[in-house]
Amino acid sequence: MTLRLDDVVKHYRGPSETVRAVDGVTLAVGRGEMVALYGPSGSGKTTLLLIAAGLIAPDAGVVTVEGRDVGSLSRKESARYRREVIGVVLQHSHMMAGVPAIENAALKLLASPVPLLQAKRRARPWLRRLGLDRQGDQLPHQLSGGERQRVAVARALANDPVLLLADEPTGSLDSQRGRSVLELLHRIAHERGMAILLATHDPHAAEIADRAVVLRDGKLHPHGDQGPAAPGGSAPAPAFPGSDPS
Amino acid sequence: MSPGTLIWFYRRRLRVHWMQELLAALGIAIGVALVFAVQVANSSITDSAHQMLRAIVGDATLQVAGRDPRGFDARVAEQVGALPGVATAAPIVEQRATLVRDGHRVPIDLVGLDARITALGGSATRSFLLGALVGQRGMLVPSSIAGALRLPPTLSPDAPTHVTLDVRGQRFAIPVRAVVTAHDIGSLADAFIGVTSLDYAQRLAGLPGRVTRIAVSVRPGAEAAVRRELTRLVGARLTVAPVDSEVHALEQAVTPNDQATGLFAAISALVGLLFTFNAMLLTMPERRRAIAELRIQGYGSGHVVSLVAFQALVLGAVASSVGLGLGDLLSRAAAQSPPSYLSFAFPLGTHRVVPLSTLASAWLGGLVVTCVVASSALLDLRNPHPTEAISTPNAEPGHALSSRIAMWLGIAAGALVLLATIVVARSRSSGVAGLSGTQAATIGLLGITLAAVLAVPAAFRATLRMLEPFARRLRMNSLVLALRALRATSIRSLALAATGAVAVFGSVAIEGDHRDLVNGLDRNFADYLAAGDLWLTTGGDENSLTTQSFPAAAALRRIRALPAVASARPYYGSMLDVGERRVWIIGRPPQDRDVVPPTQLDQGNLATASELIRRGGWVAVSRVLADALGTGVDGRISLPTPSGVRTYRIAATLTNLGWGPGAVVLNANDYRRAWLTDDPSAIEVTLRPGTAPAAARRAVQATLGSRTALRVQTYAQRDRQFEVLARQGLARLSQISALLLIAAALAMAAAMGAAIWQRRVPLARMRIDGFEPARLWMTLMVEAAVVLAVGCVIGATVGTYGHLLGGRWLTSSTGYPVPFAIGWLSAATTCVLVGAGALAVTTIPGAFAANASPRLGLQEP
Repeated sequence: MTLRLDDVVKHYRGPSETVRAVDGVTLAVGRGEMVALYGPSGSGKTTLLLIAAGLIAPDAGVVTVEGRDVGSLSRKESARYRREVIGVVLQHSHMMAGVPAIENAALKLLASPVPLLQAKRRARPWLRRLGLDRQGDQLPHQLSGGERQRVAVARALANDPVLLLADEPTGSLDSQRGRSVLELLHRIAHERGMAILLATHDPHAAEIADRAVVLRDGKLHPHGDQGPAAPGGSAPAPAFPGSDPS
Repeated sequence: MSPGTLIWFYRRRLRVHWMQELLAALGIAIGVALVFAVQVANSSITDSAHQMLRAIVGDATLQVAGRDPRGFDARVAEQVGALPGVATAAPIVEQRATLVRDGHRVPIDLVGLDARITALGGSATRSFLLGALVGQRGMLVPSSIAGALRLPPTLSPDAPTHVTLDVRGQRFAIPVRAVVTAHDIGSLADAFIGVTSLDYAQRLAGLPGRVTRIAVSVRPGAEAAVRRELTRLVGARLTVAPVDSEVHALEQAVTPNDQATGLFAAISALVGLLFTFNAMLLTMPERRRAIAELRIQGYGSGHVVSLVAFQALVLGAVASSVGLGLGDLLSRAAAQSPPSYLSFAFPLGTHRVVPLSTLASAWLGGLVVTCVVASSALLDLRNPHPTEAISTPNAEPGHALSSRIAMWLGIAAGALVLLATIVVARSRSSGVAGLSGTQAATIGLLGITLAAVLAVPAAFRATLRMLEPFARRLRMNSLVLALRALRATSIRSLALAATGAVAVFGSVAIEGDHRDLVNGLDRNFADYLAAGDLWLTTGGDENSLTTQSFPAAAALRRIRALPAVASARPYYGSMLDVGERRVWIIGRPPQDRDVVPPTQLDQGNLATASELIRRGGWVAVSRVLADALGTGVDGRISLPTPSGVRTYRIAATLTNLGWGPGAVVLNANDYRRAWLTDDPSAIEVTLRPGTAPAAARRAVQATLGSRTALRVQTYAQRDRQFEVLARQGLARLSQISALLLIAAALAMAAAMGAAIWQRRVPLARMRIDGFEPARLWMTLMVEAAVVLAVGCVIGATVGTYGHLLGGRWLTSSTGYPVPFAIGWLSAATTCVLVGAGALAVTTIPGAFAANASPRLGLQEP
């Protein structure tokens, strides 16, 4: 298995209550497999992705990627892990202002001693596959929301990761464009043996992904299973303090 | 990370954030410029004096100096020259004088030399022109004076140009036979001196057969023995000292002024650097988000540190270099006009000296401080999880600042204020923890400056908490919205409030101390002058300390005979070297209403002290001098007078009366006995009641005749002259103060402008939600008002305390008269200036921002 989450727990303690964002989740994503993670807003999807990316430490449980415990990584190893092993697409990925799309897509590669030209050469095919071959020289403020989201996907893929963690990668795209991006990701997963875990609301994802699961009140359920009803409705769980918890 | 990648990142940053980088660079440049200019200006005065001295006396190591301007018998030079071990003994006559031509007046050091001086090998005196002058009537001047007097560019010994020379109350028309340049005499070309032959100088000064100094060069290894012999020969009535003791005395004399200027410059530099910090704070949320994103993408701490360090180094290097350029311009202006009050006590030059160490320390200082300021963006690296590092409830990502941190910063501010108070109180003379008094006081006052910034977050939070229920109760929606916005963008709001606080602090503290200094000097001079309705002195404005004596018997007779004159009294003043200090000696006529200046009393009883001094044998001494000599009220002080060492009892201690090294006030009769002279340095005239001072002045001037160089002034005229001189002496402080206020207003305006620019997208989003531009504009104005109020109140409060501590230190450490008075009006004016500038920037661009197209709000964050 490329990604394995074993009994992972993450709770946020607020002034009046404790939010169980992730509550004993066990999940595995294999090589070449694409798993869609569904769930209502506040269900803990983003938190789960951030834990898998090593961006948040779980309260309990173990996350392993390619057999390596993510929680045991030093700060330096953790950065290297994100730089070389995985790709991360967040809901609101930060584009460097004043930097053209192609350079934003190549940004991650510059952390390694790769010349800019070479980094751009490696990033350009990803932009092309995501339908942005003509937007490469445009600055972030000249791009639409959907285009910026696709640049973020290209950036995450530019280092050829073994695991892609994507939070609503099609959230700003129209239905047709969203579907084609999902299909592309699925194709890439199979072509390159890449494991993909994507948090989404997109109904097409379940059709395209190899597997779909639902996260509700911090617990994982098979797709189609409504699970136990949340008593009195659940409070939204923040992904990290102060942000949109979905 | 490769250098190419680092450059790539910085070029991209500059493309988007050029305004913030420019602002930050400006703050650094101002700080470096002030520190550099002040250091160069301060060191140039003494360094150029040292160069001047060496240009004249060459390799002489010892000197025999008279203890008053009338000097001593020239035959002493022959006796000195005959001592074993002495290679050369060159007699010199030096008199402070004034050259006048076509309305242009230049105070000079009139120097008379004979051929013996050339044996000393000084770069200036080796000149053949000097040899040509010996035995001739005429003067040689350097190009600096020729320029000031508008002399023709070419002169020759056979075709001189005549100028007027005022010396010791007499006026002469003398020929200038040569103008020498740097090519002939090196750095002496920048000096304010006029060189004549020895006997001609003696004749002009009315001191035939007398000299004021003998420069002595000794054979190798004989210096100690020669010094002993000289002391045995003339030590009772003349001063035997190293030849450069003049420079040490000058260093000592300018130290208090340098300390005050240095302190002001240090505070201004810190204020400039805090502007830089605040300019960086404005972009901090964006920087923090960018760093978090880089970390998410796998950039390690090393990558982030090298990125931030590289950008800081480039910014610091460029801004510091610009600062050195600005500082160079400022120091050139300062060097062109050395404080004129010094010119009657020391030979001064205008040569600017820029030591490499000053250059390097100012540049490196700017670089280091930029790196320190920029490193605040790295604090998020402490948190291993990048997304958590920039987020907090109720605030936009990147604006995280917990109430715990705000509280700790507030506590740190309080602790700094307390610490600064203790440090300044203990810095009086002994210093603290191995630091000198000045260093300790500077650090203390810098601590107060920093406290003004650290206090902002806590005060800001307290203000918001206080205003929220008030806004809710009164249903003031604009205020409610403004408070929400201020809370959500806390870092930016704090940066704005801190900029305002620093701007107001700097201006209030420095302007307050500057005003107190001016007031103190004004009061001092008012006391000093109150003894006479008319004053007769020699020389020009530069003779502010009235130390140039002149023969006055005939003048006194004629003045006393005038019907308008009730009395005319000789006043005595001169400079005397006491240890390394060139002390101002004041011999007041016992008939004066106030022998001791009432407003300048430090310790002792005014009436008792005045009575004791009138009786004789008692003096009043500046406390800085008494402290340096380890004495005080009721103690004793020994003065090396021309008649030998005389000891007086101390009746009172005083401020330094505006003269850094300190002053001694004694009875005029005691002065005459000890200085062996009847030549006063001024005549105080009291008019009969009902006499108009202006008419009496004209009558006195007429009775003196047209050939006199004596100047007759009414009390009011002389008081005005002193006020001008006091301000000229404090010119650098005034310049720093004005520069700071301008920088403050600019920084605040720029910060508000940048903040409004950043608000356009959120405002456009509010327009999507249906908010009207007028409501948004009102919200912006309320936000600005809250931010400004917090900043101005903190700045004015801490600034007033800084003003108090600074004034106390100036009084206790430098001895200047600095009567503390809270400058309500000045503080209010500063707040209004800073506030008005900021509000003006908010009003108009704020209106544009509030009218931003809703489409702008459709942009992704």
